[in-house]
Amino acid sequence: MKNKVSCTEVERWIHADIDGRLGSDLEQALKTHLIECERCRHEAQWQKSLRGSFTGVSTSSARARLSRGFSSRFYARLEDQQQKKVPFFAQWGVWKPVLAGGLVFGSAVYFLLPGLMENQLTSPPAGRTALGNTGGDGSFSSVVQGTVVDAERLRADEETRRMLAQNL
Amino acid sequence: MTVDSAEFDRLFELNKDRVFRLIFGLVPRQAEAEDLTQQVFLRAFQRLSDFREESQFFTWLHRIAINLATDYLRSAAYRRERSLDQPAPGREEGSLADQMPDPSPSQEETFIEDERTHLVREALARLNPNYQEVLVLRELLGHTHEEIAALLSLSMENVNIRLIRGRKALKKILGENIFDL
Repeated sequence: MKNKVSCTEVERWIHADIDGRLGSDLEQALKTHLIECERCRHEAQWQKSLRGSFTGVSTSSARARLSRGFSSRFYARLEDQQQKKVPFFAQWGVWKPVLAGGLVFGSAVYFLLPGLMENQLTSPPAGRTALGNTGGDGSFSSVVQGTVVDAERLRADEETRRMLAQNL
Repeated sequence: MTVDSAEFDRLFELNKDRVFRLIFGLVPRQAEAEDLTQQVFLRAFQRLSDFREESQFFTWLHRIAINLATDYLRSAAYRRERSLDQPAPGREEGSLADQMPDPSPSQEETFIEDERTHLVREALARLNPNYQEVLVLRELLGHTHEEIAALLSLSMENVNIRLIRGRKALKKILGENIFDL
C-alpha cells in the first residue's frame, strides 16, 4: 500500500533532503515513501547524482587559486583601458552641447520664424498698418482716420474706372 | 555611499578570489578563468558610479561573472578549445606507455566522470538566468539558502522554488540516463 502523501510533496522533501534541510520527522516518511514508490526513488537517485557532479565541480573550483601577479596584471589592463583615448568626435561630452544648442536653435526657428515671416509679409511701410494709413502714430483715432482716407481713395478709384468704361 | 575608486581597490581585493572560483567552476581553465575574472572587474570599474551600496556591488559582480562565464561556455572559442584538449579514451597521445591499452577501467571512468561534469556545466549555461544564479550560488559556491536570499533579495520560499525548478530543468536538458553509465 502506498503512503497517503503525494509524489509532488515528496519531490520537495527530496530537494530539502539534498540541501540538508529536511526535518527528522519527515526523513522517515521520505524513506518509507521511497521504498514503495519507484518513480520517486529514481528521482531521488538522479538528484543525488547531480549533487555528486556538482560536488566534483565545486571541489575543483575551491582548490583553484589565482596565479601570482594577477592583481598587477589586472591593474595594468585597467590602466591600459583608461589610457585608450576615445577619438575626440566620438566623445559624448563633445556632442552634448552641440546637440543641445542645435535643439534650442531648431526650436527657435520652428516656432518663431513663421510668425516673423508673416509680420514681414503683412506689415506695411512705416506709417501704415494692415488697416490702412495711420498717420504715423498708430493711435486708435489715427487708425480710424486712415480707414476713412482709404475708403475715399477706393471710392475715387472706382469712379475713375467707371468713367473710363463709359468713354470706351 | 557611492563606491569610489579607492573603495573599488578594497572590493577588488575582497572579491577577486571568490569571483575567480565561481568562474573556474564553470570554465575550468586557469588562463580563461583569470581573463574572465579580469573582465568582470573591468566592467565593474566602468560602472562604479552606479553602485550605491556594497551589497548591490556584490550582487552585480556575481551576476556579471555568471553571465560572462556562461557566454564563454556557449561560445565557439570554448567548443574549439575543448575539442582540442579532450581526446576520446584510447586516443591519448604521449609516451609509449600511455599508448598501451589500459585494462584498468579507472581511466575510462575518469573520462566519463569528466565528460559528465562538462555536460553538467554546459547544461547549467543553458538554464534560465534566474535558476542558473541560485544553482551556481548553492552548488558551486556552497552558499546557504539564507545567504542566497539575502544576496539576491529574494524570499526563502522563492530561493527554494528556483532551486527545485532549476534542478528539474537540468534534468530535462541532461536526460534521465546521464548517470546510468
